[in-house]
This record gives sequence, structure tokens and C-alpha cells, in this order.
Amino acid sequence: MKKELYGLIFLIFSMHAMAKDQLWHFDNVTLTAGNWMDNYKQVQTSANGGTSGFKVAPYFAASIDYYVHEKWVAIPEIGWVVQREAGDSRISKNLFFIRTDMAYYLTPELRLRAGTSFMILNIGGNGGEETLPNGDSNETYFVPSERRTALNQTLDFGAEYIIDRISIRAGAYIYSWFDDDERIITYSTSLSYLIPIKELM
Amino acid sequence: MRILFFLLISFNSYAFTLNTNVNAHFDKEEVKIYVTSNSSCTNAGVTNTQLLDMAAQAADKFWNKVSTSHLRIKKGGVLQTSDTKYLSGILCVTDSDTSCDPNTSVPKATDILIACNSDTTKNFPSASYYALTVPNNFSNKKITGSVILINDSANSTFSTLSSEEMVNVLGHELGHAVGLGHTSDKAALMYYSQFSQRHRLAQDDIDGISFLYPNKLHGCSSIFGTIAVISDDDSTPPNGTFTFLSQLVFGMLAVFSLLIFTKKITSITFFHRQTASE
Repeated sequence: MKKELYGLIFLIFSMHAMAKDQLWHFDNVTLTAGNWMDNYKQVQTSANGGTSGFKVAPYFAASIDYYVHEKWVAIPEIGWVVQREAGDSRISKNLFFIRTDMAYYLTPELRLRAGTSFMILNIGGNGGEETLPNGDSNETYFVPSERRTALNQTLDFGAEYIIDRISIRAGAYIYSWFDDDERIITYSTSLSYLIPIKELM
Repeated sequence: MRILFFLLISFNSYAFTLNTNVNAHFDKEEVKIYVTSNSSCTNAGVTNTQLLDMAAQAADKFWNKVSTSHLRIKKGGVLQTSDTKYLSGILCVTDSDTSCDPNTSVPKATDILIACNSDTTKNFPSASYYALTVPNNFSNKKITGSVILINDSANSTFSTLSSEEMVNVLGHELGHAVGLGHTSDKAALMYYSQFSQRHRLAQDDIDGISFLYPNKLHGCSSIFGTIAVISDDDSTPPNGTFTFLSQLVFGMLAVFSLLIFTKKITSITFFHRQTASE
């Protein structure tokens, strides 16, 4: 609890220090569509040991820019990686995320982002049986009959290039960054459309 | 529109299965591997302690690397036993294409127990079978123990494997021991054959183990450091959803208090500035 308290106090003072000469305000609402690459190049994708295999996994997100300084923006974001499933396997997977990034404008067009996400991974199925090879015959196995949710917190880095109302973003989301054995990185690439909040008011 | 929808949902295939119809799994975060003391494993071409070491390697190489799963499989030790049922007993009394009914005369295991077995009537009717794994101690959704039998019959092909292949086979069997079944994904460790080129898990394996043992956020064991939530019962992990939500609420409160605090300070600053300029 002490750690959390010290962290909060530090956060308040550092944010205030950044913000004291600036007007805090909401700016753009951003709608994002992109591709999500789970554990890219870090999982086996063929029986002969290959790790290639680009997969299309669309994701959508919405965020809002909150200026805390001329060059610093806090960006809370929520998103959903579209459900992935196999037609006959009866298993599906959804990934939702809640993210808070801080972005720093290197130039008026380019901003670097860092932050953290809560990843909410939901996997499950509708039950049933599946007959698969086992040794030199077949065996019946079982499809999951319920849904379960794994929660992770990631450390995020990214870069975003903004041209007028369109932005191109690349992001990396590091799971277990403090653990050499478990560390794994998921990537995303996306296009966003920025809507000034004044237009929505 | 239908094509677009098809494209959206069909690029990835998730095919993992389970070896029970009740989603059974170990009800704890750390499962240990033991090997029976009376396993000589002569025909399998290894010693029992080598098997134990290789199984621990397999756990670290594959299953202990999954950040979306809370399960960790650790090396236990040598289980002192003189029971010969592990060495020559039949593990499944009714082994049909549908299921294995564990033989009750084989002592129930705790955690994961490895033994070398030479039965060729039921366990290993073919020398080409490497191993057989069955959770033989479970009730309802909870696995308490699983047995991995290594083919120690004459001409066992397990002995012809390289040590890396043995580790891969043991990794596959550990998957069964913790509740996973086979998959149709050839890239996956839980595919039923081709163990020579298994360097890491496939996404399908990761999804399977993440389903059975989903990771939970324990207190603040996040990127900012680890603060453990101590449970009275070690076997019961703290409720991850609750801790996640409490973190979320805490975070939102922090942001709101931050906004209120800084707004107040900012307005005071503006007031002073205005006063100074007057």
C-alpha cells in the first residue's frame, strides 16, 4: 500500500509540474482500426520449427487525447481485437484492452507513446467432442464447455505519425517485461481518424 | 459483407482440446514433477533422474513461458516407492476410442508422477509408442494427480530419440498431465506426432493452457512491482477479477483526484496571476 501511495503522490506532483503552465484540455477523439499480431515471431507456426506466419487479426479502438502540456498528451483508450474462431472447432477468443498512454510530440506530426494496458483475454467454447489421431488410432477429446478470462498488464511503446486527421501508428505491448523467461511482445499497426472534440460538442 | 465477416473471423484457427469433458485442471498455481524411485528405465535408454531433469527442462522450455497462464510446473524430486504397479500395471482398464477409465489398482498420483512402464498388453501395444499420460486422480473439475508412463518395453523407440526429442515428448506429455488433449494444429506441441522440431509453443498451445490456467492479476503484481496478496489457503489464488477491478477503481480514483487536485491548483495559480496583473 505504501508503494501505491508513494506512486500516486509522485504521479500527482510530476503531472502537476508538467501541467502548471498549461491549460489542460480534451482534444481529439480518435477512432482506430488496425491489425493485431499476437506474439509475432515468438510462437511456432509450423511443424518444422518455423516462426513466421503473419496473421490478420483486425482490431478496433477508441481513444481521447487529453493535453496536460503543450507536448504531452494522456490518451486513455479502449479496444477490441475481433473474435477469432475456427468454424468447426467451436472455440473462440476475444481480447479487450483498456489502455492509458502518455504521448510526447517530437515534432508536430510525430508523437511517441508509452503507457500500460490491461489485457482481458477471454477464451472458451460450446463443448462437444472431437476425434483426433492418437498413436496409431484415434481418440475422442473434448472441446471446452465454458469461457475463462486471463488478465495481464503490459508495458506499451509506440510511435504515431499524424497527417491532418489521419494517423498511422505502430505499437508494441510487452507482457511480463520484468521476467526474461516469460517476456513476450505483441505488436499492432493501425490507422486512426482524429475528430476534434469541438466538432462533437 | 458476408465475405468481409468471413475474413474477420476466420484467419485464425483455434483447435486445442481437453482430455476431460469437464475442463478439469489442477487447482493450484504450481505443480511439481516427481519420478518413481524404482523406475530403472533401461529399455527407454535413460535413468529416472535424467527423466526428471528432462521433464523439468520441458516445463521451462514450453509451459512455464506463457504469460497469459498462471500455471508453473516445477521439478519435484524422486518419489520413494516400491509399488510395481507403476512399472508394469495397466493404466487404463477400459481404453476405447472414447476415453480412458483409470485402473484403480495403480496408486493415485499427487501432482505429476513419471514412471517407466513395460506393459505391452494395454499401455504400449506397439514399440513405437513413446509415452502414455492419464490424470488418474481427479474429481469433478479438479485434477490432483497425473501419471506419465514412459515406454520401457523391449525395443521401445523412446530410446532412439535424441535428448532434445525426449524433452519435446515430455513437454507434450506434461500438456496432457495438466489437462490438455490433442490438437489438429500441426504447429502445436499438442499435435500427436512430429517431435523433432519443437522449439517453442504454438499459439494454439498458448491458448489451451491460458484457457485452463488463466492468468490473474494478484494485487499489484504488475509492471510497477509486486505486492503479494496473501491467501489463507495457498492452493486458492486470490480472485483475479476482484483484484483487477479494485485496481481499475483505484486507478480511476487516482485520475479523478489528480484532476480535482490539479484543477484546484491551476485555478489558484490563475487567480494569483490575475491579481498580479491587476
